[in-house]
Amino acid sequence: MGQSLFGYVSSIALFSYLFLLLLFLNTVRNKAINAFIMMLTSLILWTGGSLLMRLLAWPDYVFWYHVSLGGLMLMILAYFQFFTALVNRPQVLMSRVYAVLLGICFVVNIPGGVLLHWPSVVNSGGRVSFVYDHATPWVSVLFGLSGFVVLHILSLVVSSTKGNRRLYRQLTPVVYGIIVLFLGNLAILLPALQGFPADIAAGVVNAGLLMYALVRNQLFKVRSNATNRFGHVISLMVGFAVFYSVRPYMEWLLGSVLEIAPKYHLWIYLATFSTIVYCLIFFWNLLATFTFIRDEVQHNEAIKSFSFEASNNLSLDAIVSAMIGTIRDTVGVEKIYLGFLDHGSGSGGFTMRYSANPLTDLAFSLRGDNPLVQRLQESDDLLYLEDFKHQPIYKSMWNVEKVQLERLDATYAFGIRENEHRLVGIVLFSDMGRKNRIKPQDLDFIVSIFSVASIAIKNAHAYEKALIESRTDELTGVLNRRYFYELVPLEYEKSRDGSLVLMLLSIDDFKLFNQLYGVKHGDRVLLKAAQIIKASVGQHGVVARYSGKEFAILLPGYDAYAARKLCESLQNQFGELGNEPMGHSDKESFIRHKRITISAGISISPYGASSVKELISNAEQAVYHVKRMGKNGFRIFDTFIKQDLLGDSPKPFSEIYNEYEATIVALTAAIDAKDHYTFNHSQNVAKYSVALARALKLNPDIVENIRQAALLHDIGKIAITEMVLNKPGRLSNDEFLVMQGHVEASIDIIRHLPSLDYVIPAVLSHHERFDGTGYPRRISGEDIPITGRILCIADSFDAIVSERCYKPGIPFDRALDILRAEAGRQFDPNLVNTFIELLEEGLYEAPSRSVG
Amino acid sequence: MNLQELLAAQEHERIWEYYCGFLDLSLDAYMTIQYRLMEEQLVLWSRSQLGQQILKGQRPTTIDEFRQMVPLTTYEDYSDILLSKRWEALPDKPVIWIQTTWEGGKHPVKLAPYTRSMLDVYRTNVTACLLLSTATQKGVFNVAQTDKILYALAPLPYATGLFPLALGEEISLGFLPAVKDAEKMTFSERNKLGFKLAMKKDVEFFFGLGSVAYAVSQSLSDSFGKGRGNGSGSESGSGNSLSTLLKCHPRMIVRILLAKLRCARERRGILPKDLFKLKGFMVAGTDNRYYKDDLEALWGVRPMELFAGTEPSIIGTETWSREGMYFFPDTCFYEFLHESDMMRLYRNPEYKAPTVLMHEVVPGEKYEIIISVLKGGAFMRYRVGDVYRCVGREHKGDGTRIPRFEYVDRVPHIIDIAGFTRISEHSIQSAIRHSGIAVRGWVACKAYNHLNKPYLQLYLEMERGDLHETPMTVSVVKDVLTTYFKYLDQDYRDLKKILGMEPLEVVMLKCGSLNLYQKRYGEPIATMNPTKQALEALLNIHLMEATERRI
Repeated sequence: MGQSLFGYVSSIALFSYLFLLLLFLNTVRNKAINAFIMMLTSLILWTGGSLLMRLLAWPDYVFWYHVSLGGLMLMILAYFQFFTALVNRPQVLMSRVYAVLLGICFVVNIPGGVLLHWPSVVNSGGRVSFVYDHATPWVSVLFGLSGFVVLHILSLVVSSTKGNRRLYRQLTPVVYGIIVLFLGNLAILLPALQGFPADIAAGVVNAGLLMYALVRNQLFKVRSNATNRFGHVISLMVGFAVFYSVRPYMEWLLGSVLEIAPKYHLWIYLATFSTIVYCLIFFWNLLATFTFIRDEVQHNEAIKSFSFEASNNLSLDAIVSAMIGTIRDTVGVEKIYLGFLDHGSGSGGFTMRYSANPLTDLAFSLRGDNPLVQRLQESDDLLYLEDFKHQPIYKSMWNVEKVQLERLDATYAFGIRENEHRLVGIVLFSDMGRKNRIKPQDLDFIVSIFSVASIAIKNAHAYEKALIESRTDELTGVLNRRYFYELVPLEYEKSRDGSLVLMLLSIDDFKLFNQLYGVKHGDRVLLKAAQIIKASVGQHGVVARYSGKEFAILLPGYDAYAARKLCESLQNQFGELGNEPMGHSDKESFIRHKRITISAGISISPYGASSVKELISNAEQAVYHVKRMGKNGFRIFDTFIKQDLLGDSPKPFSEIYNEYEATIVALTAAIDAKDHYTFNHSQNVAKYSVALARALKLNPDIVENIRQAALLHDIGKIAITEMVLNKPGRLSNDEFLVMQGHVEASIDIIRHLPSLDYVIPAVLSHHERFDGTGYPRRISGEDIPITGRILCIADSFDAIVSERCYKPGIPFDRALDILRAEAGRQFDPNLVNTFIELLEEGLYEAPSRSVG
Repeated sequence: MNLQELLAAQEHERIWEYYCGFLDLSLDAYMTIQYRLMEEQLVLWSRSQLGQQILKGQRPTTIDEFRQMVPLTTYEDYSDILLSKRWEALPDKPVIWIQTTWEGGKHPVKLAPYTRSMLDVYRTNVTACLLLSTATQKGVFNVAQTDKILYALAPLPYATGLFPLALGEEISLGFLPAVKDAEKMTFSERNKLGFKLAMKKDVEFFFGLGSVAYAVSQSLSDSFGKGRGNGSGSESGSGNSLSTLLKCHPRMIVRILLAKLRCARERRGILPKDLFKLKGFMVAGTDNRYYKDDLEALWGVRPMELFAGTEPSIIGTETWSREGMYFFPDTCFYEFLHESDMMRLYRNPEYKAPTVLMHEVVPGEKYEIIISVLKGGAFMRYRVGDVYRCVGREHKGDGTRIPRFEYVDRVPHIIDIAGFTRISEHSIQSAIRHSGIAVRGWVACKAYNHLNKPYLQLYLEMERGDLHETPMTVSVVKDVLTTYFKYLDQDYRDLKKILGMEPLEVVMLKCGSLNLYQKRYGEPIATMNPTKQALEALLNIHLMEATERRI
């Protein structure tokens, strides 16, 4: 009966495997579950084959030997696939290689048992035993291959569990099980264990370890569709099969060994059967608790986990990625597309932005009037597209739209709302595997996930928008200075092993441009400039507005040569900028603008800067250097600049001004030809202004600026008729308005001479009064440029003392009184006092009577 | 899933929604479909060579702009491209070319391209008609895969030949006779065999031109009525002989015997309704309103009328109420030219006639329909030549909120007889010219006989001088003209042959009538379909003149 005992052990093991198989067949499959089911099948084949072999069942024991060996080989392969799936290390090629090799071994072994011969049946004293006495060296091929696969599995386990204690703990019992199995099968060849079913014993140990791993270590979570009732029915059925198979042994045990009276046998049988069934139900409960997860439990866990992730995240990408991942893993939808409303276009369309698979084509969008969008607008539920295709609204789909949906193989669609009415996102599900429709409980789950997601997405959208706004310059759309300062240290750190270029671009004379063409126009230039810079830099760096007229470009990985090339390109493009029509109206478009130039300073780390502070400071110094050297250029910061700056020897502006002297002479000659008085007047004003400016100790450049402005300040009078210009007596209101227009006329003439535009501020403001009642801009006090205030005093004094056709010349003393009286009203009191002092010191020379 | 699969899955609600759901559309939703599909069509058509040829360099970006820019079109505008089948010049590649006669055209036939998308829409809408023909109320229909259909219409390349093919993609109904056999037969052979098979196997659907259905049904009825020994019964496949009877399905044997018994008791001839219990009866073509009552009396089922044509394909259908037809929203973009504008345009072809859209039609008003074929079709703002009357903008019985129409007739300058032939001014002119009869002037109009069946009434004024030279009785003139009409127009020939109709009546006008009329009213009388009053005045013009002189 000892031999029978092993048979019973085998049958118990067999029914245990069968029990597990039945339970796992009713689960939601994935690669690991499929491999596990294959493993259980192989165990059943192996154990069942072995049992039937030992029972010498029909047709013959050799047949069952081959079944058992086939199961064993399949088990090796199943283990390999199970582990690769469990540690998520797909080994498709190796899996196929092993399958082919094991298959060949199995087939080759069938005719003559070349690799592992079937055992001999030894009948000694009624006891039948199986002796493996035909082992040949070829057996090493089989065990070698099996050993290799086992080693491969072990290496995968070791490499995957490195640093993952939990996985290591989970897998250890299973690995031990494999080793025990391998050794058990090897043991049957040992002469000492001849006749002992070591392989089956090892199988039982393996099954125990496997169940331990499943229940205690929660090897993997399985989503089961099985109800408790199903588990109990299976337990009952398997329990009955086990009881039925062990009953003969019990009969022998109770009758012959224990000699218990037959009247108790029935009760003992009943107790045994109940115990077996109870054990199985107990085991089912353990599995159900620790291994199998019910849909609703899994759904709740998933929703909880996603809610936590979504509520703790403000990154749209992260929320969407978590949402897609949760749905895909829980429901089993392979492809999920997510599109968001195009806020920018205003078309109400949706552009696809995310997908569960990085290789999916997201280059498509849905128009706002797409019937699918319209339908989702009306529905809060997950829309089954097969239903949608049967609705009348589907008739209005365009062919391309239908083809698009077909191509995507989309099965379901859902609209994400920001509030009750506004659709902000669209989700499309495709590739549902073998499923046609999502289960009702999954539908609820998905809708719950979307509800959580829609709030999180709304917050993320708002945050993203606020973040972008806080980092962006409102006018130009490039980054603002504050965020730029945040970025520089980060980029500097990132580029420690490489190089980092900081380029500062300053638009030359931008203040003047604003004065000439107005702030609105200036803003357009800034916008255009930002567009040029952004387009040129592209993805190679970041662009920020550094100050009112300055842009900063941060270029990781750039060197001096590349920076120079970029700078030259930008300068060329800026040169063209002045020639492009800026305005929307025809008039604006045809204005010939002052040429726009830039001064650029470049600083490079690590060559020219060893800290963030130095990088910025050097770039600023380089810009300053270019400005001082005459603008419209660029400079890469180096030590020479530093020396230059220390030496402070810029090109004197007087030299620059001299270049324009010829133009000034030409213009003054023109006014002389028209009105000789104005010519003389301009010469006098120049003389007084220069004297006052020098007395105020102004920079020689400004003195020169004032002189030229004085010579040109009345150039606009060329446009005024002589009748008004030389009219005796008082001017009428209209004539006075005409006369006042000479200021604008002067500007109109000078603004078309970009090389002389620096005199405009003085010319423009020489009729402004200190008390703010002048013209044309009615500015007051120190808002009036100092050059304008000087010009105003000099201009007025000369007009007072000069004799004109409409008035006599006012005596010098009286003129001084007038100047004093107008101090603080028409004139800057400080300047006018200095001027009076100069006059009293002899600046004024009374005109000879012959002149005029 | 097609109809057959949906029926197998017992998805009756889905079937109704998919095929007939357009009846539940609000007018806004209907117009949304119209606008959206027209927008798609406009893009396709505008970039095609055909579109550019008609647009003449203009580039409409909206539907309103398109309606402003493109004048109403006729086949002439498309003939150079379509008659030479230049598919590369079309908005989309056609999968089939459908043919029809072009009466008065520069070519004997007109060709119309059908794209795959058009056929998909056609298939769905034909199925809708099939379902609606059996419907007793909203959502209640009765179609089965085993049903058989008696199909009394022309095969390909005519538009009616598409019906069995398109329907075949939805459900495998049995056509009597089978489509592949029917294609090789003459019209008469087809009908005879169809009825023979119907007698054997029973039939559930009947689809044909109203006039043809009437003629065929009448001949069937007559053949029963003539009784035994006449011979014509067996000829027409009525199955009177015992051997024929034994070939029938047992159910049909019982029905025939019961019908004979009942009719003998009621002392009347056997009618189709005694033998067949039709689930659905569909008629197409013109003049159906003059046949519907008779057909209902013959078959026991009131026929359901549907609108179809070569250029527009199937565009509308009646419902279970049979109280007006609804246009399918996805076949064509519909514009409506008011009757007054239609007449003005007839008098002055340069007139830029305004059109209204579906949501702008007024109940009671008559409109000529203008279509733009959707889904890559060739025809845009095309004058099909049919006039409809809007009978309402909603219908409580049908539960609809979209306009419904009834077919009035062809446009006045075309005289359509029983849906078979379209007689134009040009074709009458040709017949008279070829006949050599010295006709000074003529007026033609459509009239109805005592059985309320249509015919062509031709008023002729002969040259005064020739009356003395040649025999010119009414019957001679009629015979001569009939000969030439038959010679010039195949369809006219079929009128007599198939329907047994005498489609021409000639009335001689008193010499000088036309001149007198023009003198009196300042303009000549319209030659085609003048108003009743004008015709009355013409006929009495001499009498009126004489009376006035006496006064």
